[in-house]
Amino acid sequence: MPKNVKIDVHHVTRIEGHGNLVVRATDGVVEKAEWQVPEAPRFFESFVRGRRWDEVQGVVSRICGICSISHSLVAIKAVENAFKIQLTDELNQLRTLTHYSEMLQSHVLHVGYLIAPDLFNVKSVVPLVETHLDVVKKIVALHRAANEWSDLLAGRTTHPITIVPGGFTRIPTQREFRDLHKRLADLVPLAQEVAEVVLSAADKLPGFTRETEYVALKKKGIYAFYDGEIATSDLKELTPVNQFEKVVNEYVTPQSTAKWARWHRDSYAVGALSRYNLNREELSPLAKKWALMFGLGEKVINPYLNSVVQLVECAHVLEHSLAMLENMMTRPPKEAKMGFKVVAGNGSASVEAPRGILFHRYLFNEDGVCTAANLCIPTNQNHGNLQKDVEALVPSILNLSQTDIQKYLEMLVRAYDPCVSCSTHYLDVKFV
Amino acid sequence: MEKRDAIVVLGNPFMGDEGVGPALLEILRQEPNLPASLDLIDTGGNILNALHSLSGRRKVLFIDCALMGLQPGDSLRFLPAEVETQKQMPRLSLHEGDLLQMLETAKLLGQSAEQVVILGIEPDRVEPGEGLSPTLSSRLGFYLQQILSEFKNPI
Repeated sequence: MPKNVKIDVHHVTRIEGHGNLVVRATDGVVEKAEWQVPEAPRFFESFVRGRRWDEVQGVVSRICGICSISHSLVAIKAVENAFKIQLTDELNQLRTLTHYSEMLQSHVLHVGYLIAPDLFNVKSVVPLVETHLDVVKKIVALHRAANEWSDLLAGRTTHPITIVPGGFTRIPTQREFRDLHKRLADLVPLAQEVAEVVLSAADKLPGFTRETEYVALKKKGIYAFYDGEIATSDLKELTPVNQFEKVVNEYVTPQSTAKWARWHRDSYAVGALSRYNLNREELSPLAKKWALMFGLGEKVINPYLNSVVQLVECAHVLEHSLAMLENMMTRPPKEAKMGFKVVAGNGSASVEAPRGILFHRYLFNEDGVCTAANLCIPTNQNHGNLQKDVEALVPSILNLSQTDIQKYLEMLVRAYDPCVSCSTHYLDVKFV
Repeated sequence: MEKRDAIVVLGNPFMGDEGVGPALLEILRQEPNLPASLDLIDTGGNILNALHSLSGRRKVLFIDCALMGLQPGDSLRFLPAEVETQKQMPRLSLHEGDLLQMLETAKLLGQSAEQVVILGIEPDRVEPGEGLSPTLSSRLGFYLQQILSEFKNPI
């Protein structure tokens, strides 16, 4: 048993900053176990001030390259809330279908590129290609199909262009809906194969558990992604989305440049695990079957299983999309866009981004120009919970080697997949 | 069927010179004499999406902001094999990314293009804010000529 532990996982720059993991233990006593967030502020709430209502979604979609559809959708919903625009059920279904394409993209990437290397004991996806070529090819094929799905509905894979306040700029044709239905039906067995590969190695995920408060959207009769009210595992009552500031209770802490959040406890969790714990009974039949296959019970309190729940959500997304497409193939939305008047207003909205519940609020003046914004992203809501997990995990694994302690901590962070550095991806090279 | 070419840009227009790729793509979209076989692709902030822009293509040119040890505004055309990455990624999140690692993955998967070329542009300013630095803005025309010359002659 190591009496002394010194772990420093640091990222190199602030501008492309991630979190840091810092652990200190002396004579078997943990002195420090911290998840630190050193990223520079991004200022998106300032970027949107002074912009027209129809420019906002294009700006905020650049917050994240992985979940740009979620950021666009929530901004558009907030504009619609401010201008009191009601969409038809058909258009809301098409929005949900578009949102699902991103959910599949992101979940497949997370499980395939970030989690799978841990399961097969390699350092990244590059050596995984060498050792498990067939598996990686399946993951890439699923990801490509999800991207093409986004291309069709959102106009492009990342940073969507066809979703606008009031509806869409374009509705796919009946033939395009039929083709999409066929492609998604073909994806189900492929996704099943990927799930079975993950299942075969799922015992590599640590058995750590810690109960916390779980927060997600909830709506009767549906596993909520696109719409709903705010639910928590600590209360029976739902909270309206326009009161989201009372939920997040943002605060600052010296170990982070990002704001953290807490509601009824020291911290709460958002993401796939929270959605599952609050909405499990609304999963599609196939998703319930997969949950059973992975041995997930009524409540899952192991944060490492977040990625397993993401796979279960992939089954739900595919199965529910097929059901919606069966309607759209015969009865596509009649109108692409609702008419509306630009008025002064205060609009708030929420969607479930792949990493958890996401809130936006905007104020508009009578010309439809944004005068203030408040954006609350899932990762910031999860930072405090990740810190509490780190505090609980470290003492329980101090008997392991320092290398293994570091590995388990890094796997814990990866389970959350914190969205803290989508701002830049520049090359940094040396000529050889 | 004849294989197509592509120009793929990465970058964030709200991080100063990091957005040089998307800025150049917007200019290219107005260019009247682009070859018909050339696709313009903006992968935005998601490097992993760029993987799908390679397969089945003849030539792909990536345009990206690059720390190369040159003067701000300098640009350099190079092949992936001519450089080593200096990026240290703890792999804590999908949100970090390295173009060179993505290109290597594509190659190992057998899903790369016949030729991959990178046009790196040394930034002057990478920080939150819209618009390019004056250093890079004043050279957009020069970068454009470099880009177009890539597709004037067959490989």
